[in-house]
Amino acid sequence: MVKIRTDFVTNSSSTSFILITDGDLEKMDFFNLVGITEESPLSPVFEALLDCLRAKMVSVSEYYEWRHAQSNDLETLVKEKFPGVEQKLVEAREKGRKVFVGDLSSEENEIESFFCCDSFELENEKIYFNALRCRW
Amino acid sequence: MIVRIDDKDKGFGTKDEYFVILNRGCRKSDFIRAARVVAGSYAEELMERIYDCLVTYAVDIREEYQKYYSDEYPDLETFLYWKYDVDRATIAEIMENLKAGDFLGYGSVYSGGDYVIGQFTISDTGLKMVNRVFDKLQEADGEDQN
Repeated sequence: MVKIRTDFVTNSSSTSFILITDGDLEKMDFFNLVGITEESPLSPVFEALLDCLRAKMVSVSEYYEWRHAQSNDLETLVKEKFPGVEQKLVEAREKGRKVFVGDLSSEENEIESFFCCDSFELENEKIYFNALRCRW
Repeated sequence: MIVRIDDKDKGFGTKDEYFVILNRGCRKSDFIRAARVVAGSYAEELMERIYDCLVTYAVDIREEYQKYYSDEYPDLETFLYWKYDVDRATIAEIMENLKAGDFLGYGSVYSGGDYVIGQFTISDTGLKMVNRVFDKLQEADGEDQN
């Protein structure tokens, strides 16, 4: 007997993100970054994304301590994982901004799955958010 | 509003197919305005992609019926039942919400080729969000008429 799948065949995906902020990731700053108002019908979706980011983001040094205990060359590691972003890391350090990284997964829920598979880079005066590194 | 037609109990349709009911005068810019997003933002781009996914590539059912099938089927309901294999309950839901000047579209969320937005738009969460935007559109229509 042969099974034939007629729907899309999917596999899991993950996207690494990097977030640079002046302070904590505040809701209104995040809403300004993505371009929604609080009364927007989209706000529950972006609020859920924000909760997800807060739960998954860790400071960049902590992240690399876990994964690359042997290396302390943070810029090289960031360059490998987020090409083109290393200069932003240098500037962020000079200005005392906070740098976080993390991973979004397509296996968790519909909202995280969407933002995991979409690809974007957003920046305003308070936040830089890069989620271009998607691995399908 | 969006009517998804993947109800397994009804035994028809696939996960990506839907009907969309929209005031014929509604443009993409109205849809985006109803979403209360900032011009030039990521959220605005998202709404443009959702509009294209649901409306731009949808088949105009009323036009199709009038042009090619009105001799064969006595009314739109019968056309939907026999041509599109839609069950009576879904037809009733569509007809209840369809006003004289409305566009009735039919399509697959993957027709435009944006798989990521299609998959999200037809999901339970995405559909709830999109129907909230349609509710805002209706509110705006109501205000215009008053």
